[in-house]
Amino acid sequence: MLVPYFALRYLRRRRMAWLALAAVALTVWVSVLVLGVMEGWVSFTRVQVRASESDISLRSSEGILASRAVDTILTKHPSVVAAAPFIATPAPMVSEDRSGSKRMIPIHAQGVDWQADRAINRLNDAWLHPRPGLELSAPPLEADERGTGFITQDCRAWLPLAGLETLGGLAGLPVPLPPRASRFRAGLIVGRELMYEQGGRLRMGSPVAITLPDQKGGRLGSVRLEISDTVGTGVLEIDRYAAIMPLASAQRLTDQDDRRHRNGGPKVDGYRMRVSPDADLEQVRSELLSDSDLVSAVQGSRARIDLWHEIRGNAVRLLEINLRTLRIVMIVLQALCIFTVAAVFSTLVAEKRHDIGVLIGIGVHPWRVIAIFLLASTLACVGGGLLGWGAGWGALALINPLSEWTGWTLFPQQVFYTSEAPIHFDWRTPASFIALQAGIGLVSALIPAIRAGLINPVDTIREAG
Amino acid sequence: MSARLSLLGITRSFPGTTVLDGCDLELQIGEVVSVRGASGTGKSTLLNIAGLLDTPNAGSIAIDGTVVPSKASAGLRAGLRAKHIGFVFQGFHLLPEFNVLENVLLPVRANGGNEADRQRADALLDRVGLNQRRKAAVQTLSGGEAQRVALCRALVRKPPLILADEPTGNLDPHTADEVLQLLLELAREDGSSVLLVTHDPRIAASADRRSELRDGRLHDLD
Ligand SMILES: Nc1ncnc2c1ncn2[C@@H]1O[C@H](COP(=O)(O)OP(=O)(O)OP(=O)(O)O)[C@@H](O)[C@H]1O
Ligand SMILES: [Mg+2]
Repeated sequence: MLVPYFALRYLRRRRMAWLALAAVALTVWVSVLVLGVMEGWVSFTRVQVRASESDISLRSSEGILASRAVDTILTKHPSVVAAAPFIATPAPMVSEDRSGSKRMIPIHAQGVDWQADRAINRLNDAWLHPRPGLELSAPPLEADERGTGFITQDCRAWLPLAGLETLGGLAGLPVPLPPRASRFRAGLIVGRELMYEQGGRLRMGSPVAITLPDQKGGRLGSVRLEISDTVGTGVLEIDRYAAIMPLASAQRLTDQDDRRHRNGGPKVDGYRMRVSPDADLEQVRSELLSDSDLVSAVQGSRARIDLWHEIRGNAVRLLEINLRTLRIVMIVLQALCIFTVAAVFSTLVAEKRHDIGVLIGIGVHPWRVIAIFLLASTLACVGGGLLGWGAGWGALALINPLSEWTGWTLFPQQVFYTSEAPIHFDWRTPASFIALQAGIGLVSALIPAIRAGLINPVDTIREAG
Repeated sequence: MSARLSLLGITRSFPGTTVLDGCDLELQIGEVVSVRGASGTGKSTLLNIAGLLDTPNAGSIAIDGTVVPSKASAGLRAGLRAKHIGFVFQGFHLLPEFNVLENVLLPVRANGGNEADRQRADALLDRVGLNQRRKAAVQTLSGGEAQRVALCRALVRKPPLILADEPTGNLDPHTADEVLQLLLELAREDGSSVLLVTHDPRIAASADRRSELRDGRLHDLD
């Protein structure tokens, strides 16, 4: 009774105690804010990387026969939501500008099935960006101003006409049509940074050729494509190197289209899979590897299954290291509160010397006097911590609206393809700081509190008398 | 029947001086003993020792026949004070952050008091004529009022032993008289023993026994 009564009274009536509270609130506020944004970046990057690389992938250096059967076997697993075939290989891309001069650009060629890839969350709308060359801070473009996936501009312009022709044919009324291009090229989706880096050489509609040499100095395959879209994920390797083409083009490029009828059908490098978010990836892998249907379907191809973080985890790990470093900095920052709180409570004890003498004089056990100050400092620190938590989350929630309102962006859009600060509300961060602050409150008031407990009532009575 | 308080051969010296030198005192249940003495003879020192605030260099203290160990910890002595002793000091020693009633209830709060204690606090404030000012900040009280609050605080838990060290030293003679009469009256009602340091012969006259502190010892005057 007495201990909380005095602790609360001293906290309420002494401005001094509010200083400790304010110091703690400020420290926790800063930490919660900074770590909230940093945690946001980590989870943002994790989502980007995981989606661009997919959760797990089945791959083989010798190729896997591209059959519906593999698809079905993979998605049969309860945790596998969707599977998409892919081909991936580094290759040189040759671009030709209007004057006919050629340039070779190293790229990472990928062949995908558009529908299947969208089903596993790659090539989602957020990443397929409006045509480059437009101001990035401009408002979002209409759907028809965006990149067009694998369908080239020419083809898209011709499609409605083709529809009209069909309609006209059906109605028996021949409509004069402009001549169709002899053959549409396949579309190519390139990384946005790749596009920028080529400084206008590459733009929507630019023709490119990709040729893959074989081991004997000849060529394995070659495709001619037209840039039809860009992809921007904020992940450097993709934005800088990706050149994504239709699966059939990639099969031709890598000589897996079985032109010579030796393989018993077209092949792919592997399958990417989206796994339900709560699944244990390791477990899914081992279950798939022991699936006898899958084993016989990919027989002899030396197929293996990789988890996303085995392939591309370093992008996330790098940020996680930064996050960890920041956490340590923030913990040290919390520890600085020790000095403020200790100073405040030393002063408080000195101020309340007389009160303490009287309390001990009328028979209050010195331990309870110590407890008064320990409780007061713990309450001040926990209270400050809670305040900092609230203020921190409030500030986190305000970052994006505020930067939109003031036009002052924290993170350049050109780097991350989003001007929003990715914020993350994880209660464990503030909760652990508050727990830490409770400890700091106890530790920093310990010496002043023990001093208070050692006050000799005879002295204080003489002093005041 | 054992005495409420007995001091035997109490010696207390400070660097350079020996203030108490084999001082003896027996205080019976319900007895009021007055102590006088020149300034600096050690009256306050004696009361501090009797009240277990200070420890003597030699000699023994017994409360209700139980000897207080000479090496008793600060906590143990605090417990004994809370149980047996009420102090009225020369200064008032009220806590500035609390109002009149809160100051009076301090010992009750410190010892987990009950409703009866609260009623007693009210009754005491009534008796000293301060019930109207129970919510007042103690800084706003006059000296006489403050000392009456201190009195109520000392008496609220009906301590068997009351130690009063010149409780009226700061008051004008008339108010001093009033306050001391009140103290003795209330103490007699509760059957408390009182050890009272005073220079006022009229107050001393109303004590059961008068004594003087001289040369480090108490001498009976009657
Ligand atoms: N802590 C201490 N250190 C040194 N000397 C002390 C200490 N406390 C008291 N004394 C001395 O002991 C003597 C007795 O002091 P005490 O306060 O008991 O006197 P008193 O009889 O109460 O005087 P008064 O009537 O003025 O209140 C004084 O000479 C004082 O200086
Ligand atoms: Mg004195």
